[in-house]
Amino acid sequence: MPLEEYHAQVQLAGWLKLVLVVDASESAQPVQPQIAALVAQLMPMLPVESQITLYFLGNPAPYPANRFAARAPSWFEENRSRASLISPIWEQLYDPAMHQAPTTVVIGAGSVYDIEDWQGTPLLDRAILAPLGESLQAQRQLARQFASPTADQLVREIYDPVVRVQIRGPAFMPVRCTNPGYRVRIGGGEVVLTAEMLGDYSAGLDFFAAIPGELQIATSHRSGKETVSALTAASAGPGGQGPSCGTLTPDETVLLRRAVRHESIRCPICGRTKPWDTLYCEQGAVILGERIYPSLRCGESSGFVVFATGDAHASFQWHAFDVLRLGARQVAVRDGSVATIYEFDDERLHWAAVDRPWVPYQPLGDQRYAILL
Amino acid sequence: MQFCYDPTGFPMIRLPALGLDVQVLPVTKVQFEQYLAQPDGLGDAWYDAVLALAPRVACFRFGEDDRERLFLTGILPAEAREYLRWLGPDYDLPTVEQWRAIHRALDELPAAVPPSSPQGSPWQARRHVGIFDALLRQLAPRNMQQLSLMEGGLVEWVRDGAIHVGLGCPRPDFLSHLYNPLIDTIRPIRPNQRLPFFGFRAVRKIQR
Repeated sequence: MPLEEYHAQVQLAGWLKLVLVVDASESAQPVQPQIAALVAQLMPMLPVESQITLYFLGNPAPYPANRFAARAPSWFEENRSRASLISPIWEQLYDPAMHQAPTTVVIGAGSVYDIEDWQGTPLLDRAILAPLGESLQAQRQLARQFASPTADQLVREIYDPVVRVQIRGPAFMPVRCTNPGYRVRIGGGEVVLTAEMLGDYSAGLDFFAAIPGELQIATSHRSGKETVSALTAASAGPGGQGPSCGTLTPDETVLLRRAVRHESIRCPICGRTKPWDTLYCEQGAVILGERIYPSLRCGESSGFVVFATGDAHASFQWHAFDVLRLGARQVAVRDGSVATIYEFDDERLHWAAVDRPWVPYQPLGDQRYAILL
Repeated sequence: MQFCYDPTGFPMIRLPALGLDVQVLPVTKVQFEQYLAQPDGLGDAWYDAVLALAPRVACFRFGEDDRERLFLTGILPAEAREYLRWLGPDYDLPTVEQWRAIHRALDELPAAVPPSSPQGSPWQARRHVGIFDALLRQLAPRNMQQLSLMEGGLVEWVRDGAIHVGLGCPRPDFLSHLYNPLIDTIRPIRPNQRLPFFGFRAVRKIQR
């Protein structure tokens, strides 16, 4: 099975993204005061971090939601002659690669004529119809509908935040993730990239996979509802920017070059001679040991560091993510201060831990070496 | 074969010998709805009356039995021409002679699905593919006349001097009268009578 590297962008917000659509059309005119009252009651009851975009049926232009109370009469008037159509709004929100559509709430009365065109899309799946008069859907029940709801009822239906995201699939192994909230979990030969209780689950990912089209994103909501969608828009080859980097001092470069040759080193903290694999000096000012490379003191709190020794002054890069790519079919996965090397098993088609232990200054080729701090 | 697009993103076929761009399909409900969404639109009550006569079908879910519901029918010629004025000053209903010339010209062209508008949104592209894939499956057209439903489609409003008449040859399941559009024209008994089999398509003069 060909194992390849891919890149994908996950777009998934944990907070509420609400598209609030008000019906000002002819069919809703008899209940316009009730519509305006419900909208005005609803908005202040939503979590403060919510992103609310206000529209009127038929009109693709968004309105400033926070000015609804003051401007509602004139906004109703200017949208009165538009037909009850949702496509002008949803067409601009539609993205075939979207992993999570915003929640749309339509408050009005009378059929939204074109809602049936959106059957099978995440936009309709997540829509909530709130008729205050005649039904908003003509014949079949295409969307969840709550007749004459109170603002309290609507808030309960609308606000169902994502509490966990899991990404998995055949031969999946992430090697870079731009969102530090994600963690890698390996069990039973399966690799799962997981994030919980985040405000924003969006991330850029580089990963190994055998069949990228079969990768899945599972999202769990506070209500217990779970949705699974395909991880799309994966393109061959890694993408995005590398992690933060810097240059070692001349003394640190000498130390590094001795260490990678497994020669004893002179500690720059205490001045004593120490084994080549020493990474912390216990004689320093820090109780649990001070990093022997002072240039790394102000970097990440933990993670992999990759040194490149090709130039006169060695350089380093921090990899805060749990996984470090070691080669075309090999990675190191950290669990706290311990790393395990995994290799892709072509016969069993999964990633398996190898017998060889992780050692400091793990050679990566091209005069590059990795340590775990 | 050269295609271009009207402001709603639907395709037109260029017929240089006639000096015309012609909409590949009769005007669909989703096209007309872009006009209805305008602030000075015709309103819900108008559309309710039209849909009561000719119900809507989802643009991804029309089948052989309800294909004609994809298109806007039950419209009066004056309303159709208002819509065409909204599309642009160069758009109009074809004349009887133009419609018949188009009918003959499309008979000579092999069936070819136009690409979706390069300026269109992802949703428009998806809709375009959905509609034309379904038409190809249902019609298995030999030529553009069949794909464009000038045969087996609607009765279409055309201009005949100062009045409007209908031309077309719907399939018997949709309309049980047999018309020869190259000979017969169809006139409603009352000029303001909405008829569920009357639709229209636009032509535009090619700018020299």
